Amino acid sequence: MPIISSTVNATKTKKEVDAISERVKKAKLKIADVIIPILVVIVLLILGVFVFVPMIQKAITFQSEHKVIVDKEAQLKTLEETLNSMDEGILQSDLINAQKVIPNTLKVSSFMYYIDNLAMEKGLTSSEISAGDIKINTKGETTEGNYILGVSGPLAYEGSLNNALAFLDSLYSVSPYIITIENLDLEAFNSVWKISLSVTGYYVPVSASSADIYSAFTPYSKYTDIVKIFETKASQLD
Amino acid sequence: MNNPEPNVKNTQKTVVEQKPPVKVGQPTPPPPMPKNEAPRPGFENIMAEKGVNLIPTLSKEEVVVAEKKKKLNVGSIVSLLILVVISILIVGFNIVSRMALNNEKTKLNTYETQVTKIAQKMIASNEITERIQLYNRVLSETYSPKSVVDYINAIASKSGTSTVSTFSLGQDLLFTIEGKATDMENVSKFWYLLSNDPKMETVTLQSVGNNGNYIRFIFKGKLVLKEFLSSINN
Repeated sequence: MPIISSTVNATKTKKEVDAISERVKKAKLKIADVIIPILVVIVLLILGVFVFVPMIQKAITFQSEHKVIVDKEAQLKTLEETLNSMDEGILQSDLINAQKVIPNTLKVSSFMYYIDNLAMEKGLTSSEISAGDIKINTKGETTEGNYILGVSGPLAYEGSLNNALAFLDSLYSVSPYIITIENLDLEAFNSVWKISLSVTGYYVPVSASSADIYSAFTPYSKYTDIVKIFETKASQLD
Repeated sequence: MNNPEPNVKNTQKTVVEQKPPVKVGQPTPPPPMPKNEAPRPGFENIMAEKGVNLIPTLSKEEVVVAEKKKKLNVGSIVSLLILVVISILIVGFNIVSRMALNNEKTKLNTYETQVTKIAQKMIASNEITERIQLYNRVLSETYSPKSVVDYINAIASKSGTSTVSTFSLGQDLLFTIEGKATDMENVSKFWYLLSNDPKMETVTLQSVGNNGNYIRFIFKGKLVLKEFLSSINN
């Protein structure tokens, strides 16, 4: 064992003792040692509640908005492709045909004139003609946009049964207009048949000049058979 | 950062490196160490190379506290780093999302401009489609009156002497027919034929009566609509 010399300086010993006590003091866990982690946690919590959470929420909103916009882009792309595939000339021609068959306006006078002429052509004599504009409410729908517009009226003619039947047939097959027959009565008086019926012709008013590009679009070319019927009927009007 | 560790070490080092007073000319021989004998634990702290270390070794509790402080200091650095990293990530995510959204909005505007230029085609197509739908709606449930009248007349002539003098056709092919026959047998035959006809949905004899020379009858019923649709939808 080493022996401590008696010549050790008292001052040095004091310093050593001070150093020991200082080290012991410093070795103790103080509040200053944990203040930074605690502050960081508090700042993190405050930032989280007031900054990070709103920022994340906003970023999620951006993401969902982004998805909607991407979907819209895809929809517009499809629409653009569909519209570009339509030939402008054919489209205009088909539109003119469709507007002839189901016009934008149907005058009561011209419609009745056409029906009466047809009846006379079939050898019938008129006994009653009256007509007016009608607004037909489609099944269960009551909004303004769901009405079908037309011209309708009760008619009565007299003639042979064959002529009456030929007249009825031509209303559908020969008429350039879209026509429906309701409340048909055929009654024989000796050899003369009296035919009374309600005839309706339809029209579609001019639609809005702007289109919603995001609305569901069905190209008319899907109904080629009906487009052909319109074409045939329109040629009969020329 | 409050890092007292280096001070402690320095202090320790300072204390350890303090040399004991040595008399000049009288070198103190080192304590005899038995050969091949390992030093006892803590001995090297007490016994310096050229002197005696008066500082006592750290107690177990002191070592634990010092370790804890060391850990806490590292924890502070890590916490700060995490805070910075989280901040960067969240702000970055937000900025990237906003930029991507703005980019897509610009692209969408370009598309909208392009499509608007050809929207006239869409309007024209919609106008045709509207008429096609009206045509389908109006003519989907209509029938040829001529074919109906011809069909009923054909059944009447099959029954014998029955003739129909009044036809009333309503919606969904509901019908009322009035006529006459020479005898009841012909009326019942006509009724039988109507009742068993495949195109007839329902039929009832509304009234029948003897009118001197002939029998008058009234039938009411309904025809199968789909059987008479094809003749007009062409």
